[in-house]
Amino acid sequence: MSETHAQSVSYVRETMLSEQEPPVTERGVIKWIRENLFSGWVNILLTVISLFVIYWALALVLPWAFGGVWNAGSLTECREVLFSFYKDSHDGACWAVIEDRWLQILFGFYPPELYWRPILAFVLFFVALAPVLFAERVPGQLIWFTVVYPFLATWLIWGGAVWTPILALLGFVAAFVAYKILSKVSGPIVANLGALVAALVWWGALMGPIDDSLNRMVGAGRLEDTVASLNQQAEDLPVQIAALEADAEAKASEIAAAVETKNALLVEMTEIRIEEFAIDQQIEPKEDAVQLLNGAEESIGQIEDILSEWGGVPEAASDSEADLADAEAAAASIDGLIADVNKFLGDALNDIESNTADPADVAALLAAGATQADASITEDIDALVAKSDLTDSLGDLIDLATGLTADASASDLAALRADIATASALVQSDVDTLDGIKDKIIAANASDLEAPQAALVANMAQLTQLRDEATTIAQDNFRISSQQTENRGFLTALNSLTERENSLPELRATTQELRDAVPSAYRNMIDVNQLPEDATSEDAAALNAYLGARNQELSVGASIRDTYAELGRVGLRPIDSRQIGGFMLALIIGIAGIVLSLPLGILLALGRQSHLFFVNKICVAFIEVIRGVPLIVWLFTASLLLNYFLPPGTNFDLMLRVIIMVTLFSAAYIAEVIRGGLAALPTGQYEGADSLGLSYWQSMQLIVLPQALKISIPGIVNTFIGLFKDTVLVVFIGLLDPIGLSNAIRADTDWNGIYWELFVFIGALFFIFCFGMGRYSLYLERKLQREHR
Amino acid sequence: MSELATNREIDRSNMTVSDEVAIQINDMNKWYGTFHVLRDINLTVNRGERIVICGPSGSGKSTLIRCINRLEEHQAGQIIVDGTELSSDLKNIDKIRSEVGMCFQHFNLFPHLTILENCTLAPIWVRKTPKKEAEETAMHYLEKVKIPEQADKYPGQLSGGQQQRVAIARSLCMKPRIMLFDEPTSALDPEMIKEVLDTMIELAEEGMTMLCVTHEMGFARQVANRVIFMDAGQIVEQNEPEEFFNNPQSDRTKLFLSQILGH
Ligand SMILES: Nc1ncnc2c1ncn2[C@@H]1O[C@H](COP(=O)(O)OP(=O)(O)OP(=O)(O)O)[C@@H](O)[C@H]1O
Ligand SMILES: [Mg+2]
Repeated sequence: MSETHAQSVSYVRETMLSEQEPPVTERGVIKWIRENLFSGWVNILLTVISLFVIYWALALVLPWAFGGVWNAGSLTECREVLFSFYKDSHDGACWAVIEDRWLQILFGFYPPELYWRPILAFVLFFVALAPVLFAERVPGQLIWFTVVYPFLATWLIWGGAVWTPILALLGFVAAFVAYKILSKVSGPIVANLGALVAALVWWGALMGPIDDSLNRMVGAGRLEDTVASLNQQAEDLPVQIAALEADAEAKASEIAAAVETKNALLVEMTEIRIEEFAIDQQIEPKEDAVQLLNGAEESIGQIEDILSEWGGVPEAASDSEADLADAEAAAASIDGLIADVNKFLGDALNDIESNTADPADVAALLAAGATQADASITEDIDALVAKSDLTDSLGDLIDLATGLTADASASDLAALRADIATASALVQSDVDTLDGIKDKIIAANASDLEAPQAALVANMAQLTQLRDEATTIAQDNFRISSQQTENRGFLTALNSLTERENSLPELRATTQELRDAVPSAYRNMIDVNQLPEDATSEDAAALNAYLGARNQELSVGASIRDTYAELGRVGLRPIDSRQIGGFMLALIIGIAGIVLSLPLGILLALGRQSHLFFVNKICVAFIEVIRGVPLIVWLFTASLLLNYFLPPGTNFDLMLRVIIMVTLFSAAYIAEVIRGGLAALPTGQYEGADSLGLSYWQSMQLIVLPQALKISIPGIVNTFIGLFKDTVLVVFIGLLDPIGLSNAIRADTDWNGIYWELFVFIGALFFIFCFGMGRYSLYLERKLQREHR
Repeated sequence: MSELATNREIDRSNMTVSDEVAIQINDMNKWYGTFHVLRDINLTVNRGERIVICGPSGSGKSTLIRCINRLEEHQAGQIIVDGTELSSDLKNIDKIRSEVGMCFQHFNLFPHLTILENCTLAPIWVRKTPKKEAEETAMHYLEKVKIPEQADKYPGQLSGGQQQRVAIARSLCMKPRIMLFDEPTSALDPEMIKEVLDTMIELAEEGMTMLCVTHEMGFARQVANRVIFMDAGQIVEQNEPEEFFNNPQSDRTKLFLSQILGH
């Protein structure tokens, strides 16, 4: 062995060849490109077409988007700036509308000084979401924040007393306590019902009075201080308003000055471009004339065709009616074509004669202009065709064409046609010369324009800033003025508070007295119309008096409560739903819909699987009805019809109604998606859970739903994305969602006619959120895949 | 098929049958729609008995033992488990299910939970055992079925035999008094069959009341104290294993045995 080894050693290579890279075509980028883009004829073709389409789309969009104007006060100003840069070479976006109105698109008419509230709610939303989305990465206690969050967010956005959300939350606590107690002594159904009753009793009967008495308690202690501070403010606020008005005036004059500067710059630029405009005026009519001449030439060609087809003037070969009709038709079309030729030639002559200046004038203008930097222009001027040359030859043509008849000889026609072609070429060459000159002028002007263009940009930036400042002042002014009005009303209410409170017992007594006067059978009626036909007019009068007195008592009571609510509020300024709009509205509706529709959808899906007859049928009917009708119909139902079904006088917030409708709508879809997940689960899973003695809800919660939901994630997220985008439909029932706001913005004369920029912005906002949801769903799917396989 | 399930000597010291009745089935009938699957079933199982049920496919064996923990509902007759009659009262059903363990042909483990979680789930939620205690019990039974080291894996990562042993451990964690097996080995390769049967034999040695649908005749010979033969929804014959195999009474039993032992 060792001998053979010794011998064979010399054949063993001792140094290794250095590693060689594969050939250029087989590695790195080149390899990738070859394999993925150019691997076969079809692939090459697709690559080329795709590249072309991408190029084409980008060439269309990029100059528009990146050549856009960010500083301008109106669409007109935008166009002025764009024109001063590009003239008519290309279009640009007017992003200034976004710069001007983005806060509005985001927040609607929410008071600007309170933007921090929705923003805080939005940021906290992610904190509340963390334990749900990334359960394993955040401490478990955070889930309590998630539970409290809906109440906190509602309070932040709508404001009101701190105890209102706490009292509302206590309703759930009441339900929970009732459930715990009842489930010890009786079955789950009784316990669930008991919980429901406890919550309803709390919200319906207890929460209102507790809220009121808290308001009263705090309010009573504050009455004097509040009146004093209101009186103080009544003195201070007018001073502030006056100061703001002075500021506003100062700003207005600064803005006027900046607008002056802008206009002067625009005039300056127009003057620089004066030759350009002059030449434009030459070129355009002449281009038209060329078109017309070409038309005339074509018409003559058609005449020639007809003549050659008939072998001369169209004549009927026989007396047959058909032949006669054919010949007549041919003759008529020749006549028509001759008329066309005449008209084309006449128009062309007119274009040149009356719409263009003499080349001599152009030359003079150019000679006088400051753009003589380019000497070659002078030579080009010489190449211009004298106006008379053009008009004369056209005049001759017209004479010839006027004499034209159906029996013109073929050679005449050919000659005329050739003449027209010559005239057309002559005009075209003139146009070409003018185009050449124009390009040179533009090039020569470019440097002259740089300074005023830069000045204009700076000026517009300054103008925008001034306008922003003016807006802030106006907003402050508006805020303080409305506060002043509110203060006045509040002060009046406070001053009359004791009086109203004292009048209450008397009102109560009167009501009671009048009630006693009504025959006992009618005492519980709430409207005179409810009286039976045989009731006497005295009865009606008595009932009427009683109802009137009762209404007054109730309204005084309500007004006292309102005053105390305002006086005793510890918390945030209340905001009306109507002030909420824009993307914030879409987010509120979307998020509320998503959060509420998932549990509802799960219940519906389970209900649809249930063996209990009524539960099953109700769920099926609900899902089918909701799914079978377009969302927009449900939204109209929410906005219009619901009022008919609600007791008169109830004021049920429109936004809340919309949220309920959107929730129901998407719950029906979610239910179907989850049903798919449930169906995909093998029956063995249900049996496994059953055989261990898990109760129905336990097996659903622990075994079935975790697996079914996992299967359904893509479908659920898909439904959520759809729901979120569908929130823009609320524009049709008059809510100011982003689309509604874009309409409102367009209604302003400043931005009348602006579409794309707003839609691009709104689209981008939606895209960010929907894309985020889609990505999260992918992440979740992959994560669950890793864990459980 | 006549080889024995285990080569070792079976310890019969605990395998005593008491007089106490564990399961009592009287004149039980069941229909699937109009199809009469079980006819007049009468069966008494005493505590500590180990019963093997066999019979041709479709004869209603699975249906019978699934009726015992009410995975299927019977329409006539009585089933009394541990002194509680099965009726539509949900409380009774959940009580009986937590006393009766069941192992399925396809294991029916929960794929989204680890082995340990599979085993502790029911004790924690049904028995309200504290988590720690439940985990200790679970580890005890996982050791017993010889796979403690797999506790943190997911079912999908285990072999079929291991999964079936986990399923047995999962049932045992509820400390059942009766165990039902529905063809626990028929989805397994021969090697895995042996490890599962070993586990079942150990269980029998400890005196567990067992009802087992299986075609493992070796197991029946060694462990069962009664073999029940079913056909067409009826109990055709029941006897002690030796008698049953050596001296079958009815023709159908003979035919069945010749088919199953013949090859
Ligand atoms: N859910 C059901 N609905 C209707 N018929 C059923 C149902 N389940 C089982 N059956 C029928 O009942 C009969 C008994 O079924 P079962 O599963 O109890 O048979 P088995 O003895 O366990 O058979 P195998 O040895 O093949 O498992 C069969 O004929 C089967 O087709
Ligand atoms: Mg079976």
